[in-house]
Amino acid sequence: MNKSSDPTGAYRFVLFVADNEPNSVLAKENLEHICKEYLHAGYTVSIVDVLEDFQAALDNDILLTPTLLVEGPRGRRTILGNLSEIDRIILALGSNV
Amino acid sequence: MDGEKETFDNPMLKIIPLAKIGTGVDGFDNILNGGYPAGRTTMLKGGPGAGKTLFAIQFLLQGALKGRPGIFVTFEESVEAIRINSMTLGWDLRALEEKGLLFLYHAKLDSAAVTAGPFSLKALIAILDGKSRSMGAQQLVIDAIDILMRRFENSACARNELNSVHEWLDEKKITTLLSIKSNEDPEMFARFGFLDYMADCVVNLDHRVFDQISTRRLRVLKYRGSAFGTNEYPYVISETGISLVPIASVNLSHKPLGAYQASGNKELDGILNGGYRRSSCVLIAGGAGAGKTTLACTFVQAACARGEKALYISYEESPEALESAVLSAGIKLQPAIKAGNLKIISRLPEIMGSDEHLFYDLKMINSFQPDQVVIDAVSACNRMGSGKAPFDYLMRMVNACKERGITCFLTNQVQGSILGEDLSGMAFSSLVDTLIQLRLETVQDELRRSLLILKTRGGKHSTRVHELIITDHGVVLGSRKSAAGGIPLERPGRKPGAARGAQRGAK
Repeated sequence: MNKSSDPTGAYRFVLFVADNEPNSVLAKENLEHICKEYLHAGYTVSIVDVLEDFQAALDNDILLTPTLLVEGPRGRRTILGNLSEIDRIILALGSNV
Repeated sequence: MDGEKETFDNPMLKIIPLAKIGTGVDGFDNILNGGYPAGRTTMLKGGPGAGKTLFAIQFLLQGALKGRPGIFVTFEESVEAIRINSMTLGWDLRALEEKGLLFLYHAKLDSAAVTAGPFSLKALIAILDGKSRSMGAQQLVIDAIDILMRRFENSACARNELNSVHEWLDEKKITTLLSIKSNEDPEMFARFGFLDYMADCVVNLDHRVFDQISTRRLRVLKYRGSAFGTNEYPYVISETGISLVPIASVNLSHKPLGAYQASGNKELDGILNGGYRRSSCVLIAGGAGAGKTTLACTFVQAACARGEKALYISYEESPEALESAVLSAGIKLQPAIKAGNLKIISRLPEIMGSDEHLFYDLKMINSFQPDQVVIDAVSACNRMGSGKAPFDYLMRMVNACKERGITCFLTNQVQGSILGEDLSGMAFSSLVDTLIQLRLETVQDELRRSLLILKTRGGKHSTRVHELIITDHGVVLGSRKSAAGGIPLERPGRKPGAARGAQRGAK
């Protein structure tokens, strides 16, 4: 499920969702929008459905959905929620966005 | 009381009692009328130090040992900390984990996480669901759920999410314990008060400190579809985990007074009409230095020499101090200790609450099975707590002895010497079968001890005041010739009882 414009991208995202519950659908859409709009330096995205792979949630300490794990220039970050609050996400991602 | 109700002989009315699962906590099943509700949720509420996690571990442990796999989810402690803490109680959780009977899961919440919109607990539910399927879990603990709840910004949202957890639990029919910190933050409590309604059984755990002595009490607040004990029940956290302090027996089932047993002193046997009776309660009251401990140890030495077992609970001296103190009076306790006939427990009364003292002492009585129990001294028990606590302790101890046919020796340090005064100091004289008063007074520049039997139930006794002399080879009654150190103490023509007269005259 990897999408990328640059395989060496500066941001690596793992988005944990719960099937097609509304907040999960919104999170996927919002993440796609953020990537296209702001992350010109490149990114990779993988999406994990916790209903299909609970072990991945267990291994990554994911209790809440949607959860976005980010690895980027400013280290690891966890962003919770449907990613509708774009200002907060931009702030969390760092200055070179 | 056990789930059965009056049916008024109506054949259409069938009562099916609720299925229960053992709590794993000694004595708790009785109060819950069998245990936690099977396939349903029980909530444990309590402040810090109340033992919520221990209750939870004991529940899972008991289930696992019976082959019921269980999951422990905590939002608070690391898995390793739980393993280590459990090991101190002798519970090897890792062994159960390896057998697939237990799964410990620290549900970590990243405190630095940024919130960017609404979220749900679907991942947690997915983990619980997946894990319970894969291991066939029948029991579940969710520990410190309040920490998870704090993550939600508004209570409507938290409520919705908890409801989805509740629905999942309902559907799965897993017996669940939910623990939550309470009493700490009234605002939290108000926000999550609704949690009560999710649970079929709610238990409040209370850890209170009063007069610097900590006590723990639990109370069942509700139990849907079941009868339960409605009182507050004391519980203790001991080296074997949580246990409820055994409930006082409802019926008086004292053994009748038994055979006379030699007191260790021939003269005393004479004036007691044969000695102390088995299964009786003997109270020795007197001022400091009057010889109470010496008299009690005289009996203990004699009983142990006969091959009987004695438990000596000392609230005033260490075992070594006690041993050497009575050695100067020629009483040797060491051989009895070595032979395993004598156990001396030495504890400061204020070190724990009366419930805990009672718990440990009853446990010792049950395991050691003594013939004689000495409590030295009743007066020190007042330091166990305020109000009724010391009285309850002694009452329960005396009752426990009488129910088991044990002779119970109490010493009590009392000032003054007015006859008819309550010499037990705690108004339980009615439980005392033999009451001995010791006095220490100066008569004509000389220290003198005396002994008077105030009562012996079911037998004759001397009514005279006897002189009590502690020599380096034991206690001597009524004789003036063998005083300590061999100093001749002459008092020609002095009759027993004269000391009392002299004292009265002086006043």
